Amino acid sequence: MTCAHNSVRGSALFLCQPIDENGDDCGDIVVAINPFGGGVGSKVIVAADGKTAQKYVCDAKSPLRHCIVCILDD
Amino acid sequence: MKLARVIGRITLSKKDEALAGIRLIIASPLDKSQMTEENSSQLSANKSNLIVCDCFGAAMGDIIGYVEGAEATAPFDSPTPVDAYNVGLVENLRYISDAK
Repeated sequence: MTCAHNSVRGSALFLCQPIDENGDDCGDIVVAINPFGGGVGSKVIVAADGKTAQKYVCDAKSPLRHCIVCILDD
Repeated sequence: MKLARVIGRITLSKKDEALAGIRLIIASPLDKSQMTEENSSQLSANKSNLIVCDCFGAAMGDIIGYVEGAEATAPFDSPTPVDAYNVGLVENLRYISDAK
């Protein structure tokens, strides 16, 4: 992102597609910050409450909402 | 955060004083089909457009990242009646549809 909120600058942003228990797509694609640097195609768990994202970017006024909290092995 | 394309602007004549100096744009949420190739139809078929509060000068046709809910009011110092907030302008978007 070129022109963005200060808390977003420098963060890696990943497009994440929510999936159901069978692995099929369900829901809208969300953009999440990724403090762990997982690769494309890996299964992750995304936290959708703002407080987690605000902690990672150390900014209580950050508008970020989705944040990747862990990368699943299989 | 979700992605949307800017399709218009709104100017309010009378408004809550908390909205003073805040620019409002109309945005159409992006579908998966619009992320893969440069789809000419800017409006998504099944998603309703929304009014987004913009502080970064998004122009018509730009792709923005917006948030809704309580996080949309986080950047403001005082309580502001805003439903969606423009987090930033997307410079490049790489969507790999078969990344299983």
